[in-house]
Amino acid sequence: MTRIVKQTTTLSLSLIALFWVSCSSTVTSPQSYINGVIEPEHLSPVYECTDIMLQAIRNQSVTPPPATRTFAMAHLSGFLAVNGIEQAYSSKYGVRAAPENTHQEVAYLVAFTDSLSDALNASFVFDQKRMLARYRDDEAKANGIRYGKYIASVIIADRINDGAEPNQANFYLDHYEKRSDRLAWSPTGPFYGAERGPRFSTFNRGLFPGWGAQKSWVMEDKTQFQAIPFIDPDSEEFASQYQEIMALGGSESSARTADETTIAFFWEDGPRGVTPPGHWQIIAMNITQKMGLSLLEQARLFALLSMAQADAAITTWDSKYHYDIVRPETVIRTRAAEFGQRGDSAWKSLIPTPSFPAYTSGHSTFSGASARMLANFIGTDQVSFSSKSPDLVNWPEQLTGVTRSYTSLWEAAEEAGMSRIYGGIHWQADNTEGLRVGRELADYVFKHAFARKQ
Amino acid sequence: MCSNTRSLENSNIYLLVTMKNRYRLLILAACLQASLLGSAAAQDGFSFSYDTISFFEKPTAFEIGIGTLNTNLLIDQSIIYRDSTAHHSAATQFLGLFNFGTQLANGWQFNTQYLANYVGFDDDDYRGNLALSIADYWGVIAIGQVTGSVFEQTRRQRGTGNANLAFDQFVGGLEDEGIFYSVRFNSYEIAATVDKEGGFELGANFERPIGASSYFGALRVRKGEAITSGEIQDTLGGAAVIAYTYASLTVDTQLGIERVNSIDSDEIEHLFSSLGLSYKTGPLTVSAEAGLAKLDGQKRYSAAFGSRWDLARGLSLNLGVNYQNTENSVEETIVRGSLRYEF
Repeated sequence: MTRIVKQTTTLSLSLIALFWVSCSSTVTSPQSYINGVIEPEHLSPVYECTDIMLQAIRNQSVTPPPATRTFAMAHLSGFLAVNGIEQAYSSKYGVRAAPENTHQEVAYLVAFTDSLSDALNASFVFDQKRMLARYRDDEAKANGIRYGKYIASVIIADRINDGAEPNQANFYLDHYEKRSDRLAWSPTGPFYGAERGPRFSTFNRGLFPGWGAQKSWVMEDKTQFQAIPFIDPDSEEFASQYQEIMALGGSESSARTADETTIAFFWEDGPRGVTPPGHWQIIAMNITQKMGLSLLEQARLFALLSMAQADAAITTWDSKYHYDIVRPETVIRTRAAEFGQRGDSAWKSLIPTPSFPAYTSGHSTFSGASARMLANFIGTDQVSFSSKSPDLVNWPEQLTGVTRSYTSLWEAAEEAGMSRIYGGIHWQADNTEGLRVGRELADYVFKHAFARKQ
Repeated sequence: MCSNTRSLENSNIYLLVTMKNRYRLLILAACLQASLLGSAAAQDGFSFSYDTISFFEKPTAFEIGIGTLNTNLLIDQSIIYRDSTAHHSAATQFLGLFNFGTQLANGWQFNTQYLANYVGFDDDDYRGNLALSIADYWGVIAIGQVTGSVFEQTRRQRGTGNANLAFDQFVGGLEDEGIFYSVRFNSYEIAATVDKEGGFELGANFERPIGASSYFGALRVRKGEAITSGEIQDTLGGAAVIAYTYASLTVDTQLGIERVNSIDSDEIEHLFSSLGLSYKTGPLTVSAEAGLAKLDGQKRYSAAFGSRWDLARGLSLNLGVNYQNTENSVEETIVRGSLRYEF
């Protein structure tokens, strides 16, 4: 028995030691999203913390709506911590000013990682300790830690019972009435054609029907940017969009070009990865790294971007379950006759159809909001940049070695929106309305989130 | 924590494969044939009308006061064939998972979970499984019938459908009731459970994509109890799992070692190893596994093939062909086909 106790102790200590030395993620590791994107001289606490967050989103396979809430909580906390020291902007959170001699970077990363821990229900204590170890132990550091924790506690308290927790269950909870006509959404099957792709569950229940019931971040409420009603299914416009998706989005489409096929995979960003909003966070780091932004302005940019993305998730999920619009796959395979169209029971989309209603497109809304917010912050939409897919694991054969280039932010947003048409999973109306809502939402957030103090 | 339908399946598979045969029913061959035809039909564009089977979509969760009650149900009708007795039998199982969750004023998530498990007809068997948990960034603490949770976090991927690979686990077990703790650090998760008899299991896993592939690694250590020579004896074992995933293909392997105290001789040594692969294409998921173990010098062989064909929302056809052979013992193949509905 003594031997068993010794063996147990040895094995347990070995296990703990193994994890102690393994629990860190650095910007130079192959798994870092900023390794190869951010030049070493432009590294900052904002970029490093964002990288840690994106890795966690990927590792936990977080879906886009909760990913945006995570981004917003962490980035808002980081910004408020730095702003509490500089006192440059006003906000609705009413946080007290930091004491004199408070280290900005320390306050930022503590506020960021504490909020991140709460949002993801995971500990980032080792990442936090690793970053804090770079700073000399003095009063400024101690003040920074205390103030960062205070700011995180304010944001965490603000988001307790914000509606996100119960609404992460995939149930309607009577927030929305399911429609019963031919436009009603139904769970979709594994009818896609792309090979060598990730595993997708089959016939999933609708994702997060209650997400739109969540407390908003900057917009007044979930209906402020609600989409206009879906197009008339008896109209020429619907007929035209039906023909478009059937021709362009099928797995065996001859109308879709090779480049358009690549676009469908390039912007998919799931199910294992940074998510579409996370893809835009990487773009934001890439294009702003050489702007010489101060820590405060970097933090403000990512707080604005993240809150716009989080409100985009709320408004688009509200529209999705408010209108409850069917996916193209369902109409083409089983309901075409009800729409006066010729169907195809063997039709498969190029990429998997997500398990929630179509209208409006999350990708389009996220992309419209992100591109517009970046343009607002930078002062121009005319930004040229190139981008690789953040995650090869989802479509390794389709995305390895692929780099796409853009001459403007909106061009990238439109391409991201069209990727869902090329993939065969969205109506064109889902895309155009999503882009419009995203753009208007970004303008509102940019104008109302933080006012510059005189 | 048994908090999802995967866990429902887990219990389902285990109980159904091990239960006694009670009555003859249905047609095993039809299930097997349907499973094979299923994938072909999907390829040809056959479409089960999934519009008509989503009627449980709305009423399975309710807001009650400050919390949400979620309900999940699994109904499985199976046909089982054992070649050792050349006997067919059938079984029905109902599994209900009821979870009441809420967020406390300090942000902690509180969940109460009850798993109701009913099996069979003549030899009715009902089991209830209750667990309470609190979770926050510092991890999850659970109490109740939770001691299988470390194993679930650190095991090799379970076989598909009704596959169940024999001899792929420690012989020393834990009591059902105990305490469980788990915390996540980015890609890493560590967990521990202690049962009411002082047995415990420690586990850790790592999972993340690296480049175009995804990797999973896990270690677990268990101090449990097993019956040898009619006496309860202590056991101590460790196991390691490595999994590699590329697109829809997963290959994984496990190696384990365990020592069992013996009342009349030296410690008994138990070695076990297994290799498996699984693949999903469209509505069809398949898996194949093989195991080799050695317990007290006696070799044990096992193999399992499983498939699952998703027919419609929540409805699936499942197959398992499970083979096991021990030296100086009976060689047996159990084939089980089932139609399953879950929501």
